[in-house]
Amino acid sequence: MNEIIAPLVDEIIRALGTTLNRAIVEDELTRLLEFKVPPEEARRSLLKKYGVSEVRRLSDLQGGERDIEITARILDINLKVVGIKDQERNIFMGTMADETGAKSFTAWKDFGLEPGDVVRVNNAYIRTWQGMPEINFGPRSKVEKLDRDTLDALATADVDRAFPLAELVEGAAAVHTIFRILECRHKEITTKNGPRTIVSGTAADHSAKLPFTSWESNPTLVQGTTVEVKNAYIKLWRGVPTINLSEFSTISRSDTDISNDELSPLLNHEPVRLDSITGRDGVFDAIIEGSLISIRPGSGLIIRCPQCSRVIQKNTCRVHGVVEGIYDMRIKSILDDGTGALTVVLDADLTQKVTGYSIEKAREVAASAMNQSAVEDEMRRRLLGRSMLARGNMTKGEYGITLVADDASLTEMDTAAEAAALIKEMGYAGPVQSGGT
Amino acid sequence: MIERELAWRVFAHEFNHSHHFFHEGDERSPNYLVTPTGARINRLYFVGVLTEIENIGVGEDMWRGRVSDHTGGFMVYAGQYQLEAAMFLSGLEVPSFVAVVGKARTFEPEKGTIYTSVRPEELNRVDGQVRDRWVVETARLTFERIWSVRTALESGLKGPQLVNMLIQSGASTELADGINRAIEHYPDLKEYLEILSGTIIDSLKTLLPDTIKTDGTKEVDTVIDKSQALDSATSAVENVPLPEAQPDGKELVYELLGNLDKGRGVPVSELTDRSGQIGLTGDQVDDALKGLMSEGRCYEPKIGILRRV
Repeated sequence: MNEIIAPLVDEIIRALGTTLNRAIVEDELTRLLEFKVPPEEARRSLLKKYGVSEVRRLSDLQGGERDIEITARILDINLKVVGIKDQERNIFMGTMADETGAKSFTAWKDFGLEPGDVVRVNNAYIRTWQGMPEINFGPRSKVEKLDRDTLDALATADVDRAFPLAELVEGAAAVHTIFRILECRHKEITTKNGPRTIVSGTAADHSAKLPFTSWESNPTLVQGTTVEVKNAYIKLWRGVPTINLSEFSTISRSDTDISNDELSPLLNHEPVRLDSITGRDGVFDAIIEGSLISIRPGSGLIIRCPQCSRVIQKNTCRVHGVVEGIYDMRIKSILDDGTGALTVVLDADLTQKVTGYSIEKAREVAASAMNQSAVEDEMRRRLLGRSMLARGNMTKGEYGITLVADDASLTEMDTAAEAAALIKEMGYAGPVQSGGT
Repeated sequence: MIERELAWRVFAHEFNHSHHFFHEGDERSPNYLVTPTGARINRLYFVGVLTEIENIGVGEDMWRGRVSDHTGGFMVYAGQYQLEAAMFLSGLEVPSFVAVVGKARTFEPEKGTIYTSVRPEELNRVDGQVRDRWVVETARLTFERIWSVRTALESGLKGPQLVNMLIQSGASTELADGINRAIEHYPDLKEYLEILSGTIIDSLKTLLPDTIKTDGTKEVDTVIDKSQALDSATSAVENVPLPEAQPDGKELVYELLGNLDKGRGVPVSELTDRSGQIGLTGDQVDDALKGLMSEGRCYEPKIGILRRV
């Protein structure tokens, strides 16, 4: 027996540290093996019982992990009162960072933590919250405050790097970035704690344009200024990554201004190539151009329920029964520029703009063909193969990548000039300049 | 979320020189045709001139159309499972400009002989602007791929290292993978890229302002003087006479072809005779016709009969 358990005991003691009596481990292990528990299972059982967590870095945490140990600095923490089973409870939510990155956390009891504290947390677990892994610790977890200097050398490097806007993804916490405010407005909103002024607007740098919302008003947030923000977080709002600034974020005027030159592709409204944006979660106010290679079924003349706006057939809504439908038009198209493809949706106004059809005319066409889909066919005939410029927010969802157009127009090219320019460019061995990447 | 396969832009010349078809994963995963420039085609989009249409089906309909760009022709097949496309094709007049979105297919009647074709998903009649624009955009994207393949060949890298290098230099993951496969599969890639570049430059030249107009000629000359295009697109370009070397032969034949055609095309013999009357030699007429055909401006509906596109 001893030959089997001795190495196992050694291993367990090594893993648990010296805090445990060797005799206890031997006893318990022997007992488990008497129950014919396989040695590997027995080892696991003991490690679990005496609470050994796996040491992990923040950047590789995945939802669903349990019993892990992390060491990180609290960047911000705030109290939230939540109702759990009709009882009010205080929980603490915030952001923590180690040398590999930052993550949100929730502490389910008061550990007396302050921003700046460096803590070692044992027995934490990871839950996926709003699509991102979040660190959780509660009564079963052990939280130990360390010397505040412990992480100093480490915590600064990557967490302090300012990220370009195009790299900010949903769920990112403790975000440091620099942007220019293209526009902003103050809004009064009502919260459960009374009225409150928030600031929302558009941020831009050389890489992208993103909306931002500051939940606190701040005198630095003025149109035209370049600001540096720290401890912001990114949430998807209507499918587009949005910079959120809370009371725990710092907002200051940047030392260097972002110039018009750096923003010129954005300010000049140049279309971007699809391969440069289809990899992103969502894009705010994208401008794209490509060929219309498909007009999807359900385009053309449609009828909507007057109460819920669902598209209905034969004046029957599947929720509201028989209703007097409202005529509308739309186009669901596939735009493809040879580097990527997405669905572009046009509303009635834009449908009229690109096809010349008003709703009245579409109804006449449908009536004379005695077929509603005659409009769709006619639009397909007019549009398929044509090039279109479209502008709007790009989002990703179950049905793929979609851009709901705020504006759209058909475009023509001076093909002689473009051909001449291309022949000239090809005279050199170098790459062909691709517009807008 | 299933990502939609993008519609690649390739010229018929490249499409018809492709013979590496692959399929990975389970039966539902897509098939790909890898072209010499590394386009990894499941779906493609092209605009050209319908120059032939024929029902080749026995018993049931199978329409076969040939859609030509300036570099060659795409064979498009539509049968009982592409009813809409078949109906559309069968109702088209030859010639017309058509835009085609479809899936790449291959047919291997015997080992080593592979024919590529297209199964259409969407078809539409379009105008010359749409065709010309497709030529420019396809040329640009193809040149970019040629450049990437050349970079890849020069690097001497292979496999994952090559793929990484290409992605770092801005290629999409699909293209990087395609180029890696193309380099493994096509032995005389360098030579083929030369030929392809030349063909594309020729194709672009057909979009330049009409060479017979004096102001237009000036513009073309400036373009060609300034560009060093002839250096890189060597042989193929040199074979095509510059505008001033043959200022009118081609255009005269083109004019004649239009005037003589009473709706059913013009026999070659008649065209040669009438060209002779205005002082062109038989060789000049042959050259002119070859030029017009390769530019996609005329075609041969039946052997010995010519028509303008």
